[in-house]
Amino acid sequence: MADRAYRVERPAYGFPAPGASRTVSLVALVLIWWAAAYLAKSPQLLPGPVPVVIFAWRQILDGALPWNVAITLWRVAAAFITAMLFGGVLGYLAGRFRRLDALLDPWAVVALNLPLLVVVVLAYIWVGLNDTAAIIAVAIAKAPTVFVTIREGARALDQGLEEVGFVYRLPLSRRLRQIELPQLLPFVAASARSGLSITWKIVLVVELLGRPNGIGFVLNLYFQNFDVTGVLAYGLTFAAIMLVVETAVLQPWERHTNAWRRRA
Amino acid sequence: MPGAAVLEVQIRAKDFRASRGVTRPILRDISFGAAAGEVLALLGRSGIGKSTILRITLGLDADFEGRVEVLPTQLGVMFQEPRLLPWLSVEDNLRLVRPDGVPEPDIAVVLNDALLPPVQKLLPSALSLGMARRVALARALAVDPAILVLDEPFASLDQNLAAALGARIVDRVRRRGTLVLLSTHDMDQALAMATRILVIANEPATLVADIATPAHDDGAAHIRLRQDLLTRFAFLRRNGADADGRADEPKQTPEI
Repeated sequence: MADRAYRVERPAYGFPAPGASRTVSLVALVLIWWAAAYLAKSPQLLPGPVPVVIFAWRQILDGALPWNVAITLWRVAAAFITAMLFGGVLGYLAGRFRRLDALLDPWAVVALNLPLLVVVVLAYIWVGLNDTAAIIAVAIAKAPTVFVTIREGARALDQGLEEVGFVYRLPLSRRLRQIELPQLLPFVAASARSGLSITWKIVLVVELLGRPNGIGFVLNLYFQNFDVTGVLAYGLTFAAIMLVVETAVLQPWERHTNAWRRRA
Repeated sequence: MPGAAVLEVQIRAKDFRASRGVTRPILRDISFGAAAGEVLALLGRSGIGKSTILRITLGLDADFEGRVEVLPTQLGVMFQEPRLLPWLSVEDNLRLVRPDGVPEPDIAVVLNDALLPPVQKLLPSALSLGMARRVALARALAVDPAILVLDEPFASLDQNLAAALGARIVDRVRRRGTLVLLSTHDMDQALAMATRILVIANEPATLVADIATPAHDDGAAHIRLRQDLLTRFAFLRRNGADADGRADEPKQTPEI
């Protein structure tokens, strides 16, 4: 008897694939913007997409936009890495050692509830109006959320696998690298993903308050001139860059770190 | 032949501490030593505390009265659950536990020793529970242990496979002088593998008998010992009826 061939059909859900849905969603957003600008009939209040793109393109050719984007990106990267390292290490230790957690938890609660403006202003007063103060302020604002997330990850480490490392007397480096880090990475990735989106927004505020360059500074300039086209051109360009980083780097990485969980 | 003791265990008391300061006595007065080349079977009904004795022996539970001395040597451990790292392939799970400076084991040979097909490239999630447990056994054997600790090693295997694996382990002990500490609720498995059977019974659990088994080729002596164990220990007659771990049965039926 001949083997039967089976073919499994994908069920038709009536919705496009996720990638196509994203594109449709973005196009719809631009169309809504365009329609709103058309109805507003005030290019000063709400310019349409075309003038904003033209403005942004001129700023790119001029070099001003790439320069300010690069400065802001540098600050975002420095603050983000500082917050991830600082919050991540302390969060891991708090998750592993109860006494340390008891000491650090009240600090984390205070830091989580500290108004961002207070942190920024104090950093500028105590450290000075410089990049170090800006990066410290952003890192302090972001680190508590990293701390809480990584602490949860450290608490959730599989005790059974820890015991495997213990009875086979694995060196500490191998235990950390092979047993603990793969379990922590999904928490690190989730923390990084949410952290980046918060970090760059905080950086803009910090730049607006006390830096002579960067996207936040430029936004403040255009705000004072009531130039909405400039605000949208700079703001949306930077948001687009962050969107690309998120979808091209962080989301795939997060999926990768969780891959073993889906297979398990 | 067994040599000098490589393992000394003296557990005077072990209690489980519940909330509000309530403690429940689990183990009392369990002492034994073991030497290289011995196969010790901790025989008792499910839930009696055999795994707790193994955990204390391995240094995983320090909350007890007594002392444990284990010569500093390579351990191979098979827990009741496979405890394989789900993000590593089977071969990487085996390599993970390799001590520094020791040559890498031949993965195919190690898997074959545990009666496994060539599954080295698979992730643990692709294995059945029985296969995953055999990979855990292969991992324990891959480090060439001087002391091999097996916690209910054949629980999810069919009888033929369990017997074949048991025979391989016994053969290994003879060739390499490995000390095997085995926990089981299966008397026939203990008789087939062990050189000594430590019977654990009562509540709290105590060591009620330390019996040297006859030579494996002495069938008549084995049958007599089996009959003797059945006569003396009621929980063995129930033949695993307590496998659900209930602890109240012995109160109604004296075990000894």
